[in-house]
Amino acid sequence: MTRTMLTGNAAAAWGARLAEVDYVPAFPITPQTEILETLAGWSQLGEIPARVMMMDSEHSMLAAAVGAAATGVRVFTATSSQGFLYGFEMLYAIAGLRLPLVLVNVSRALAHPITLEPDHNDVLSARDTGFLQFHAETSQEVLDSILMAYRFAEHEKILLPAIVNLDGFYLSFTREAVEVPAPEETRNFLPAFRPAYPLLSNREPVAMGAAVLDPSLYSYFKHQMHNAAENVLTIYPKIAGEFAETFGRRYGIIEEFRLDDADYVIVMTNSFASMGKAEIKRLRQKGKKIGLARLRLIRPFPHEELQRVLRGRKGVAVVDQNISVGKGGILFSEIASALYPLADRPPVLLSFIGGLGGRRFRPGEFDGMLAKMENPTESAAETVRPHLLFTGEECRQVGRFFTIAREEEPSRET
Amino acid sequence: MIEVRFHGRGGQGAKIASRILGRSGFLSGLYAQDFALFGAERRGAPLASFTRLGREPIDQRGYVETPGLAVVMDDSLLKEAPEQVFHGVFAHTPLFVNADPDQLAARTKELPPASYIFIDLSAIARELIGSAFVSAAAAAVAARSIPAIELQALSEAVKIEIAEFGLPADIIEKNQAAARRAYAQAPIVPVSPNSTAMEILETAWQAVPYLGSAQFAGPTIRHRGSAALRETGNWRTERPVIDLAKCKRCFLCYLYCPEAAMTLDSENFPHVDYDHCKGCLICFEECPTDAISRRLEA
Repeated sequence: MTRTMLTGNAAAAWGARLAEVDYVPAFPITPQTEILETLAGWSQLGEIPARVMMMDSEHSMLAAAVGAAATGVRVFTATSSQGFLYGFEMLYAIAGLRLPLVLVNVSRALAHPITLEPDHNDVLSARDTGFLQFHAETSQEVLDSILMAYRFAEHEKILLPAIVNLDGFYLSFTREAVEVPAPEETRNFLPAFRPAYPLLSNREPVAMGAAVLDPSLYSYFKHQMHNAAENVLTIYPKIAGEFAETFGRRYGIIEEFRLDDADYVIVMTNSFASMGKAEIKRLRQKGKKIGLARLRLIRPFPHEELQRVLRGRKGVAVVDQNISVGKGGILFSEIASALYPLADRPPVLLSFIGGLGGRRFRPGEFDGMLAKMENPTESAAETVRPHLLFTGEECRQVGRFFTIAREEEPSRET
Repeated sequence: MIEVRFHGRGGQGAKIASRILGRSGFLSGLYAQDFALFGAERRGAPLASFTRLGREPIDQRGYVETPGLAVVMDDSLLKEAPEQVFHGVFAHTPLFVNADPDQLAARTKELPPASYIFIDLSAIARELIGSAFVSAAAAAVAARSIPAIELQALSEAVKIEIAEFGLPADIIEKNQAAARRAYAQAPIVPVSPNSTAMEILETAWQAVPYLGSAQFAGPTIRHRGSAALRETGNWRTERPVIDLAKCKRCFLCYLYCPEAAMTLDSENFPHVDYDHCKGCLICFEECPTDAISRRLEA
């Protein structure tokens, strides 16, 4: 084990390296490129045995991933945002063929308007594909989640691909201290891949991805995928336990921050949760009984864990760093469905949209969320709608942009 | 509601037959719905199409499970696609078959029970249209047993549907004549309405258990060479015939055949596997010595 400074992207590359992956189909996109560059460099120097193959697009990249995974080798790849969407069709192919590879997505908000900074509309668009989803807050967690993701994905009772998500910029380009396990140590936790499924090979031909024109047969395979994904929840304690024994770091399905006596809970994901925790600490100093729940596992959705963590609280505010246009926060809806059957569900459940396109929280926004939980004054109709976090100062700033963009203004070019 | 099912092969006009019948009902003031079911099939493959007619709004969609009347436009389907033709067909279900009426007794002896009516629609089409296009005649025999449909509406429906298919006026008129002839020849049979009232079964929900075996995780077929078990030779409308006297053994037919239905003998002469040849005639196009000719299937 060594301890060093790594960006989120470098930690992702180290995760793939320690997983001793065999094949890495690649295509560059900001803010992910550094992951594949790092792996390509190691491959060229002979430091890793993996074959890194530059493809002509993300669609080809993921198609190559399908072919390679079908032969039974350990496959790793990474993408982001527009590239993720460009290869989207193949996500269903990978999951439907039950090929257990790991894909790192470096979250970046989707065009248009085009930007480079993060939110989670890219990764959450894949929530229905059959990919497992682990969302990381720190560089350490990126590395660790990749190792764990392979264990879940390759488990014979799961056999589904996994996404490990990290935020662009806030984590991808941010260096922080990471413990990099030794290869021997890692092999104890994650041995070489021995696939139990029929492989694509010349000697033993099989037809993969056969057409299923029978609706019952189609339903059967989809039900199997759903059941397999849910198996993660029962297998989770064992694999997380083995991880903790091997490396000394224990990860829950949900990270519970200052929740013991909390009446009010903020729910967040990914790297912005670090800033959320700082706000919780500040509010705690003011005597507020508030804590933060960070969802690490988003697929399968941890209904029962959420019920355990949130039942009996006085209020819950879900901060979605995404927007389902015309509906609101994606995770808010999912959390509401998990809490509905509880007799002691939190009487106040509010939705906040924040962090779109990398927008940071403004001072006082967490105080505002807490105040709304403490004194709910809104009607039922208002409560189900998302609160879109925005400030007067931002309004004035947008106004200044529009002044510049208006065509009747004289050109500023000289 | 009356539900009619047409069985044919891709290219024979089963879809148009269901549309003519649907349009006939529509023009007669009925609620009407027609629908053709095909996905990956090509010309020659068995397919089914459906017409629903009623005096109330139609509250069903999709496959007609238990037809009140069925028309089999290609008699080879009785033997080759019985699971489709006889699905939901009972002893009392009128089953019109495009075949020589004289063969009725001999040919139905070992078939599942149905109320068979053999009527030679192909003969009508050959005589009046000059082709084997039996859509209009097939629609007409079904229309004959639906009192709400007037002959005039049927004729108008033939005109509209055939025109929509892009055929010229003289062909349209010939199809109208074929429809009138089939309408006149067809017997009136009792069509059971509401025959689709599905058997009320106790809902037997069963959660799919997780099988726990990686072997069955995805749609993977491990049985090698199973495609040979599926005989696709009956999809052909035309067959390639090789004149070995003209063959130079260049292998082009063997190389180009997309179905691996061309085999080479010990002297490297090609032979067609007619059980699997789908009749695409690529070999005919590619043969540099014109040793391959095309012949209509009977």
